[in-house]
Amino acid sequence: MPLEPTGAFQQLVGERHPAPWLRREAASEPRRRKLHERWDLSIQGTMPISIQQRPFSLSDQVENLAPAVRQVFADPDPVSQTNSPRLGNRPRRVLPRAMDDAERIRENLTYLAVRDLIERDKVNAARELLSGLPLEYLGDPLILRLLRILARPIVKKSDKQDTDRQKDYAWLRDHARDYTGQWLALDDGRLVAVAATLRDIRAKVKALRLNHPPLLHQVK
Amino acid sequence: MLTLTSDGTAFTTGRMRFLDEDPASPEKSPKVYVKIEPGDFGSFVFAQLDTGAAWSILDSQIAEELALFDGQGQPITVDTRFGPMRGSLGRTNITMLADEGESIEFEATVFVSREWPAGSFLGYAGLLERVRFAVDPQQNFFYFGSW
Repeated sequence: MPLEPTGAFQQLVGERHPAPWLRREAASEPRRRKLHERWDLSIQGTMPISIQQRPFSLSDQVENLAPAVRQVFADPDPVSQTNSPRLGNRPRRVLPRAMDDAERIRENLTYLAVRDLIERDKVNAARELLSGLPLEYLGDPLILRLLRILARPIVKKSDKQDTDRQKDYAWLRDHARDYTGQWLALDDGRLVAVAATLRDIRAKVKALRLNHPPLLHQVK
Repeated sequence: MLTLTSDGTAFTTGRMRFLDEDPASPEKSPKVYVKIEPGDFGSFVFAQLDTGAAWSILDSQIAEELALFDGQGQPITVDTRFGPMRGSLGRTNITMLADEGESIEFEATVFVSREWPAGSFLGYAGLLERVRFAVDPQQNFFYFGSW
């Protein structure tokens, strides 16, 4: 089945790499469509971007995907170890790696699909899609980054402690309007510093050497 | 401190008093602003509780101070009340501060954007999904704990 002219990778790489890898990719088209249907991507053709929801800029996608796409064509195929003569007692173990073009393209499609799910707030679906990936996909830096940001939060007890800030809250209710646009630092119901930027007020607070961390607030 | 239990086990372990309005904001409907410490900031700031938001958002100046615009995050466009916002998702530490009981620290996923004009928000994915919490609007107490 030939790829449609609007296929994501055809657009990404243009006419530079037309033949062999596109033929292999075309063979995986049914599988990709199945993937899209399974994850309710609500798209037509092979472009896993929610173009119906917001203005779509292909150049943005190319910019973000460029390193991964370049990698597809930059890495030479590895020398096959399974076909080498057996010099020892046992052949060297061949670790699973997604080395051929089609596999790399599937990785990149997975990246696009997960990113699309994230942008449509379908976080659990994105997590599920990633959790079902073969191990060899996990070497891709883009996939690793998705795994990291989609990981559930790690929670632990903290020794840090605050006190009841009723006095600071009351000060804000009474006086905050007088400091529009400013960052304020409050401690025990007192204004201890004012600055135009967060960086400046942090510097001022640090110089004050307060016994207790102050409450910072920007009056919008 | 009043502790909430479920089947005899602690449901929440810390409590703080929250602010229910931003005094200088034109938006006057009541909100829940809780106290957090982003990273090892050394000072505390407010973040609005927003269970309807998919992601937490950090104030752009806070994100700058935490070096979250370093290009290591996942580029993404998020639909916000200010329109589509270009930014990135990244991981950072956030501490939810207790006035009584235990504070809890998260390694959480947050959205940051230089274009973001509002303050900080605590959303569901990547942060609140691991927090048990309850609100006492009579006394403005926010009870929280992890699971």
